[in-house]
Amino acid sequence: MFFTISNTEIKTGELEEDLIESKAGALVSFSGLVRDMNEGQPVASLEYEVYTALATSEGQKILSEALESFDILDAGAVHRAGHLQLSDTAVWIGVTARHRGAAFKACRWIIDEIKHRLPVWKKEHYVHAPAMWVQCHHHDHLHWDQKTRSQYFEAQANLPEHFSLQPEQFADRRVLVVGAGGLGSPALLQLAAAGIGSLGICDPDQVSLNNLQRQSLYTTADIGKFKADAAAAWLSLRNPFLKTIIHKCYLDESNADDIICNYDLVLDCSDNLATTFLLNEYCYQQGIDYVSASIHQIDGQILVLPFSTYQGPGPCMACLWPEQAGGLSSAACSQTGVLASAVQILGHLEAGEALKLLQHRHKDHRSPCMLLYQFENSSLQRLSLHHRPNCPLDQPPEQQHQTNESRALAENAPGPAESPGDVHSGPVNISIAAISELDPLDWQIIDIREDAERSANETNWQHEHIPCSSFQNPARQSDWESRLEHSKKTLLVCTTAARSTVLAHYLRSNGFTRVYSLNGGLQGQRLTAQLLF
Amino acid sequence: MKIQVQYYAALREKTGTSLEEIHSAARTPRDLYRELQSRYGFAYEPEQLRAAVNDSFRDMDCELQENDLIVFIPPVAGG
Repeated sequence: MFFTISNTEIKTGELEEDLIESKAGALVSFSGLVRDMNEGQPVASLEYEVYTALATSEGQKILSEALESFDILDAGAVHRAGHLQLSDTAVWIGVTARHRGAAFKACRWIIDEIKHRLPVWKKEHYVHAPAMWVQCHHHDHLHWDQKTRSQYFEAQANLPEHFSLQPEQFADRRVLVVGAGGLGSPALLQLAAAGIGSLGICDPDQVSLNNLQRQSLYTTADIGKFKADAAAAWLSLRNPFLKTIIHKCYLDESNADDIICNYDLVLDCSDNLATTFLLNEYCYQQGIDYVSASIHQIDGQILVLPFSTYQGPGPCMACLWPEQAGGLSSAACSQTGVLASAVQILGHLEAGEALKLLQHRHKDHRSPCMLLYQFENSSLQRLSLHHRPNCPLDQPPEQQHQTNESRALAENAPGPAESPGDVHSGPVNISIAAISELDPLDWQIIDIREDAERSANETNWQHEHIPCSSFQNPARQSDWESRLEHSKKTLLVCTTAARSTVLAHYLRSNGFTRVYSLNGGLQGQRLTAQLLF
Repeated sequence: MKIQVQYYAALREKTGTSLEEIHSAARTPRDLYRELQSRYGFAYEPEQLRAAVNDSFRDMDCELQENDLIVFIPPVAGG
């Protein structure tokens, strides 16, 4: 370890040699150079005046502290005194360590400390103005260390222990957030607040004006910047203990494997189904927990998929939507319209679900589910998910990329339990232009929306009504079971097809094989009607 | 008490010297600085400075001894 004040040119090569030893895997060095500009004023040269005795002892103290706080092998620094020209080295710092991470961190820390503590003064000689002593305004800044970390997380740390939500629970967790927009903004903020150690931010886009209203990470100063960069900068300002990893790219087959494998959980905040299903596939295969949210106008859904807990095949998004159709729209929010507060609520809800999966203690008790949020009737429903026997993701890899056609054929192949005379069920979601097309002799149509939703809507519904919550309630099973007409096919109908899809799968897996869901839901029907008239 | 005072940077330019020996009744660096401030017209308030006594950082209100060496440290700008 060495710290000296030098009146002559700093020879960095010799200094590096003094630090290098065979244990070191990394040498990180920093040179502070004389720059030609300061606060808009062109600089001609500068002078350093040093209180040598105190600077030397304080400098040695700083290096000792670094050796104590960081996992490094050695450190050295030299600061100039005297008159320096442009591009001269004013200060040099070198750090060796076994590994580069600690060396980079320590080097950064040392220069920051030197700037704040060393009794050194700088006089700038300007090209067009009189020379001036430079004042440093960084007094009383906080050191980000164990002590300030405890104060920062105080509120959360004081939660009762049995919740297992202390910040320490999350300090070693790494979460990848895909999409730093309407859903990603609140999700990232919440995860940072909870004490997540590393946040990966994946977004290829730049901030645009119409984002500002609901994408809470950005301000007018960020327009034009890459979202991933601006998000990381703001998050670091809000939480200095957070580590961020920036991925300024689209996730696709070429990079998904490499990126996802570094994380404990992937949070889908993207705005397109292709990404959502891609993430589903890669997370399922790699056994990485996956939480996905999507919003359409004022309602949203969240899928909670604890893939890391699966012992064998289990439910995933492809189980629900093997055709990758149905569910909620993937049109751009700014075009179809979206309510900012609904987006924010969804983002927060999905981050909350992610936190539950990230807890060390309770994770194994989390089961796959879908949460449905509806703005109008202020409801949040929780639906269990079930594995689909012919899910595309469980096929061997070669077969997963079959065309939809051949896949549909495979799905329609008879299972061993069905007699040759039965009608084979086929895909769960069916598309029809109007419900009135269906022959009432063949079909029983059931509206599964909750009571509160229906009172505001159509009053001339001629068909059956059994709210989705009844199906979910074991105590009501005999109720709805007796109302199903077994001689007919059953069409479940809800607003967007999210619930009817899940419920249809659920009923099929419980032996009610001829149950279907109206693709696009009643919303899709209304849209079609508008187009026709 | 006999005290040595060392000056750097802007303070040195204001006093015209880098070291002087003074006799003062001041018991603490803060009191001493107030004396010097009224004599030389220093722009800094005591709150903006740190004090070093015998080459160590000390509190502005610590007790001074005979023959101590004091340096008043205005805002630093190294690095």
